Amino acid sequence: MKILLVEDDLPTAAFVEKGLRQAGHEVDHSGDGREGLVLATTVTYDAAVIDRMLPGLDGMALVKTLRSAGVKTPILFLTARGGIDDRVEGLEAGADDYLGKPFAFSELVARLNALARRPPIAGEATVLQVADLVMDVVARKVRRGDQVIDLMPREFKLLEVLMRNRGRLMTRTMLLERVWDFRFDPKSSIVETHVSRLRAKVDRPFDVPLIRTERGMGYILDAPPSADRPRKR
Amino acid sequence: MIALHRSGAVRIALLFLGLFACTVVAAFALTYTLVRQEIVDHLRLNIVAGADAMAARLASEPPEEVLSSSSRQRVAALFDADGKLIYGERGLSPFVGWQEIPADSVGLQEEPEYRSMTVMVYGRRVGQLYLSVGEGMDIVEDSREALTSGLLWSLAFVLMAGLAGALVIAWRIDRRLGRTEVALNAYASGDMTRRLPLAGSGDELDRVSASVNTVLDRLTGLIETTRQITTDAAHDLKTPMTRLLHRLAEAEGTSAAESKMVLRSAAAEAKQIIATFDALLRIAEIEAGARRARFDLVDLSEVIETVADAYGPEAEQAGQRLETKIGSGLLITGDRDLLTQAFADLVENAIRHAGAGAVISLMATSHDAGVEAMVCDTGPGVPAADRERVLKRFVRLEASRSTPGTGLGLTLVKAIADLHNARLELGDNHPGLRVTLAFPQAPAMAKSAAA
Repeated sequence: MKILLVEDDLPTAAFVEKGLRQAGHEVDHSGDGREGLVLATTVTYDAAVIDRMLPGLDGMALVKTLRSAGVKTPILFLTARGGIDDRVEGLEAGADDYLGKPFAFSELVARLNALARRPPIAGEATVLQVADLVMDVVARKVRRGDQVIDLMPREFKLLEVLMRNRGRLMTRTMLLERVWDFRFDPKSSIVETHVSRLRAKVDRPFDVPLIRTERGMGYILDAPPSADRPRKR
Repeated sequence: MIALHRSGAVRIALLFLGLFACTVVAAFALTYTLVRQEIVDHLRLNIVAGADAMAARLASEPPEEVLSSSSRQRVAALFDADGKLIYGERGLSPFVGWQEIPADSVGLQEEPEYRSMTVMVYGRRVGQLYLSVGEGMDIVEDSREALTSGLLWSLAFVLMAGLAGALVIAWRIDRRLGRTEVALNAYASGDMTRRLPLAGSGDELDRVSASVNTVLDRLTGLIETTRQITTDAAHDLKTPMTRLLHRLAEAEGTSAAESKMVLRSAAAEAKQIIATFDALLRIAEIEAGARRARFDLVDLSEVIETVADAYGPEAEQAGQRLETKIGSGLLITGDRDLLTQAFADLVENAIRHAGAGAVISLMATSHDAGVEAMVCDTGPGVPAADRERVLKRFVRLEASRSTPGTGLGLTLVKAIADLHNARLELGDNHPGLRVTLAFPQAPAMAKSAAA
C-alpha cells in the first residue's frame, strides 16, 4: 500500500514509518499540515495517517479540506488519548477511523488494513463463507459443514465481524468498538472470554480451527492455508 | 477620602442635577409666559371696562369730572377729533387699540414703586373724540418677581439637597466597593477563605457580591482539587515509575532471554502508567462539562443490557452470577459512550471485589422523578465510613491495594454521574455494595414516548 503519514512528532513518525516500510508499504512522510495537504491532493494514496496537532494546518482542518476537495483517501486520525471530543470531531470532519496516542503499532497496521480494504457499504454480502463455515446474516443462521451452530446474539455479531474481515487482524479494541460499541479500554478480558466461548462452538467440535490468536494483538479468522479455499463470492 | 472627580456616583448625580435644573428653568419659563398672559388679559379687561364707564359718563358729565376720578394707578386723556388734548395726562396720545409705554412718560414714575414700570394704554373713540386710558402693569411685574424668587429658592434647595445626596451615595458606594476591593485583593494575594461582605439588603451590589462569592467558592474548589490531583498523581505515578526504572536497570547485564522478559514486564508497567494518565485526562475532560453539548436521548436499558451481556461470561469465570432486572425503553438524555463506560466500570468493580459465589445484579426502573439504575453485589461491600472517600481520586481501600487498577474507576463514574446531573450513591446491599445512579427525567421523554 502507498501510505501518507502526516505527523510532526519525529520519533513517532520515524517509528511508524520504519514499521510500515518493514511491512512492505510505501510511505510518504510530512511533518507539516500544509505540505501534507499538497501531497494528499497531488498524489494518490491507499490510506493516510493524520495527526490531530500539526504545525501549519491542524489535522482537523486538513481532514476537512481534503474531504471538501473531494479526496476520498481513507483517513486514520491520530488523537491524544482521553481526547474523547477530538475523536468525535475527527469523525465528523470526515476521518474514517481514529486511534488514540500512544498506540501499539499492530493496532495501527490492523486499522490501516481494515480501512484500505473496506468494502463499499452498499455491496455488503448477506451470506458470508469462510472454508466450510457459512453465515446467513439475514436469516441469522450459522452452519459449519452440515452442522447447524446455535449462537447467542453477541456471539453472532462477533463472528460476523470476524468473517467480514476474514484474513485480517482484528485487534481487541477494534472488536470492542464493532461488537459492543465500547469506546474505552475495559480492564477485564471480555474480548478474550467471548472469543473463547465462540471458539468452543465454532472451532472445537471440528478438525480445522478457523480463529487464530495473534498473541498480544488480536484475532484472525481465515481458512487454513492448507485447506481448499472455497470460491470467492 | 473619596476622589470625587473619579466617583461614578458623583458624576451621575451631578449630571442628573444639571438636567433637573434645566427642566425647572424651562418649566418656570413656561409658567411665567402663561401666568403673564392671564394677568395681561385680566388687566386689559379691567382697562376696557374703565374706559367704557368713562365714555358713558362723558356724555353727561364734564371731562374734568370724569377723568380726574380715575384711580391712583390709572391715567387718562381726552382728545378732540384732530388729536388735540382736551383734558388729561399729557404723555398719552390719541389712537385706537393697545400700546405699552414707559411709566416715566406719563408721570407715574414719581411713585417709588412704579420706577421701572410699563403702562398699558387703551385707546378708543367717544363720538368724534379720542379717549386713552392707561394702567400700570405693576401686577405683572410683581408676579414675575414672585415667580423668579420662588424659582431661585427652590433651585438652590434642589441643588443643595441633590449635591448632598450624591455625596452620601458616592460615599456609601465607595465604602462598600472599598470593602469589596479589599476582600478581592486579599483573595488574590492568597487568602482563599476571604469572601465579599454582604450588606444583607439584597440590592444589586449584594446580588453581584453573592455571585462573585459563588465564583470564588468554585475557584477555591478547583484550586484545591488541582492541588490534590497534582500531589496524588505525582505520588501515585512515582511508585510505578520507580519500579519501571528498577526493571530497566535490572535488564542491563542480564542474558538476552532474561532481558526480553524484563522488558516485557517494563512495557506492562508503562502501560499501567499510561492507563492512569488516560483515566485522569478523561476525568478532567468529563468534569470540564463540554460533553454536555453532545447529549442525546439514550436508551439506558439497552446500555445496561449490553454491559451485562459483555460481562456475563466474565462473571461466570470468576464463579459469580450476573442477573439483570431491567425495565425496557428507559430513556435519559446523556452520552451513550460515557454511560456505557460508567456501568462497565461498576460491573468490573463488582466482579473484581465481590469474590467467588457472589451474585451481581443490574437493575433499572423508571419512576416519576426519573430513571434509577442499580449495580449490586453480595460481596464484602464498602464500610459506611469509606463510601464518600472511595469516590475520590486514587483512593483504594487497603484490602484491594494488591489488585491491579488505577484507583480512578469510581472517580470516573462519579464524574460521569455529575455530568448527567445524576445522583451517585453507595449503599449497603445487606450484604454487599449497592451503587445507585439516579438520573433526572429526560426532558424529551414525552416526545419520544409519543412517537
